[in-house]
Amino acid sequence: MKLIKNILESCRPLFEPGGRLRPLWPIFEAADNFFFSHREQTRHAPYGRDPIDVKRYMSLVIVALMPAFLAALYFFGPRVLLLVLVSYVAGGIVEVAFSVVRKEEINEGFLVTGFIFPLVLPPGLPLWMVAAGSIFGVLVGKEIFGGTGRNLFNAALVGRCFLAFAYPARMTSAWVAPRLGHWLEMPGSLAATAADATTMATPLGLAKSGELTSHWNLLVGNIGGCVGETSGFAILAGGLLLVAVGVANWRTITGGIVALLATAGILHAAMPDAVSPPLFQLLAGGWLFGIMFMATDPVSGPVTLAGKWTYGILIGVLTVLIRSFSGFVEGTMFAILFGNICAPLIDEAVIRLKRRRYARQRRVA
Amino acid sequence: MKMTGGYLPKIAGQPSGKVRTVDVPARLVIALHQDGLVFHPAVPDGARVQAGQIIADQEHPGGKLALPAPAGGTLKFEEDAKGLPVRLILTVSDHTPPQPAKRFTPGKAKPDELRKALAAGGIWQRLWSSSNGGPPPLDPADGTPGRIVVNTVLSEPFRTDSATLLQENREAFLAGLAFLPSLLADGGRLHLTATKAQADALGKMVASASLPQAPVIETVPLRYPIEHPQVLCDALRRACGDIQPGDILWVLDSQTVVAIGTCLQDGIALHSRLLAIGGPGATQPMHVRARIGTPLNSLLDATGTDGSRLVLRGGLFRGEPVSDSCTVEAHDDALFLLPRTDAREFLGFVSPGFDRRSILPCFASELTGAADRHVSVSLRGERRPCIACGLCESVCPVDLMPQVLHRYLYSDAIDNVEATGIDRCIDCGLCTYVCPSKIDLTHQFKTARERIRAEHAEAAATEAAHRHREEARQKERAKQKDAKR
Repeated sequence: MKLIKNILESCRPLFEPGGRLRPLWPIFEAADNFFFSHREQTRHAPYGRDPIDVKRYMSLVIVALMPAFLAALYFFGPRVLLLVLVSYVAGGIVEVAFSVVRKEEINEGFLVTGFIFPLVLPPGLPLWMVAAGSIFGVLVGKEIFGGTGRNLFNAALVGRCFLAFAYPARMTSAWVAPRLGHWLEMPGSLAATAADATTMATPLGLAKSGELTSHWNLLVGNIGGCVGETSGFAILAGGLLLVAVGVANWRTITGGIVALLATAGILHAAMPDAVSPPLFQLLAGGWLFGIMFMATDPVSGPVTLAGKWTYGILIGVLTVLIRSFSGFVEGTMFAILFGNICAPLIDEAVIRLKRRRYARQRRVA
Repeated sequence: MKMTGGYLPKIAGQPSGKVRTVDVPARLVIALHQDGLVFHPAVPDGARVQAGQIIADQEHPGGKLALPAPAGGTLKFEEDAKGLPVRLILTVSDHTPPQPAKRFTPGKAKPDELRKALAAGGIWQRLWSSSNGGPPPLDPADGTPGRIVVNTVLSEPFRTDSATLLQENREAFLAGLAFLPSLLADGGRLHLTATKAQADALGKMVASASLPQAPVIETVPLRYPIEHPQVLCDALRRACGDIQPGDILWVLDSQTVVAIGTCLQDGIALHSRLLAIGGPGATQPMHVRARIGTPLNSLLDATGTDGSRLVLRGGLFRGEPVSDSCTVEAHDDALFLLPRTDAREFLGFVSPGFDRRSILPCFASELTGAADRHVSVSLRGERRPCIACGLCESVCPVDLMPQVLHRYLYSDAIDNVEATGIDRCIDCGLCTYVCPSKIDLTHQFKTARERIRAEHAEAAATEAAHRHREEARQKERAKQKDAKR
């Protein structure tokens, strides 16, 4: 601790005004504030503040992602580590470059984006594609809007969407059969690509041909699918933790799950051939991961609490519709991105309703 | 009664029930600018005054508000650069409390006499009326309250604890309650708020006192800012369906009721205050009773507090820093002490957090029940753009959307800010306290309201000028027409 403090203090003059490395101040500041708590004091009332800050907030998301990440490591091998590393390095360069140019702090939001992004990709995707997707996601999904807190879309999903449209063949064929924990025996598997691995169709892909994967397998995760999206148990564990600590908004999750079950239930009863059963829809594909970790991204969703209900419901309904009545096998990504587009509209409606209520109360008072 | 939003953090340094009476110092200082009012000396410079004698007053609808002398002695004016008196320095020669003035009997005194006595006793400015959001007019013809709400719940960390106050002032409190119905409109009702835990004890105490009108006990949640008069009134209106929109509500706290009882029953003017001194920076959190005008540093000395603290006048949320030269004023009921610390914690954001507590249950103290001992003058995080987490909206007691207002202000859409209810903000500070992005929302809203007020004033002045010019022009035209004829 003392050593780190001494190193930081000896480097500080280089980055302070007049120092040779002044333009790189955001990097130094990020490192300084990572190791030691920020030293700024309050300037206005209340002069004491709650200990929650964005760093703690985002680290809770990382902790909640750990079960899904560990399950992915178990099922798909050490390549998952490499995917995460590539995503962090590629996206991190963009984030740091923008911070330096803008002379603003490096934002913790990237730690979450960089971690979520590889978890929503097919495990057999070439590493350069992961890098390209991460860069695109951070650049177009976030930085051009002004960085975390000002982005319209979930950056990880923008990156995934880019890959889905730019390389549709690779994105739909890079599914790898889970290796069920035997990965330690395969040191060569680190750089393996889809060509070397046994491919395996995803449960949603199989469902299109009428074959339903068992609920147990969907919960455990020994199935084909995106890196972090296969194990229902792991995702639920992380998601529930996130709800318990109050970081993920329960309104979005409840609204989404209820809407998905209701829509799938009604449509499945009417058209059993076209629409899969509700519980299968809940557990298959990227739905659980999407509603727990990406629909609950507060920045790209509605800012108002009432709006979060509508937002969740919209995502739930759209996911079922896209999955059942479009050419795409999975609809969660498009549903959330569409939700992102609609979020300002939902907020506007909530704000107008609130204004009406204010006017009514003013008349009474 | 129910309230929307609100939040009460568990903070270390809660004042104990022990009350220490601070000796009357040789010199008392009375500020003439207090409670947003400007008082003017009512006696000449250098005059000898008796304890309880009116030493300063201020015009108020229907009469005058007064500041009584908290002790006997010689009065000197302290002036500002323009030569206007700003403080009265009282060199104390007589430490005894004010001599009893006129005494009243509950139910027999005339309301206007009671009002005059309360104004002369320095108590009227402690009342809050829903008609004007401040001290009610003194003339009963300008409105009498349909309801009077006596609030015993001061939730903000850490204001005077009602149980401690009532322990030593039970009789005066009951006397105050006995006089309040005389100030009500015909058919008016007296309400007494208490937490669930205190309601029974308070109910029994009131029932044993044979009051002219038994107050209705209202149970309120122990959540900040339930004590805010506006929040209380809204909660009461929701709870009682029979309150008409035009009904006037008065709100006063238990310390004011004690002062009313002492003033009307014993004829003794307001001269001392019971203050809670607490917070993580307090070495011995406790209550102190001090004469109005006592320097704050002598209070801090009495509780063994050293100088390395930020002293807030008021509680954690609304308190403003004061210097040691400040003195006890008639509205004071809390001093919150925040440690000034420069220490930087190593990897603080991953700390399990046994010594801190947040609105989000994400620290280990949730399991142990420990209070937040870590709160200090530190911002406790870096400033970041709003991440729309919605915490501010969930705690707002007046149903605002602070994150939306902040976004409007960020894009300088002041019209939208006004339309989205910024005038409802009561500056409780909760949104700012819980914000993980450390945005000074309360300060932004206060500045925005001032800007809106200034713009309205400017618009009104411009319109008046236009109207005046137009009228002058029309008169001129009419004159010319007359001349032609």
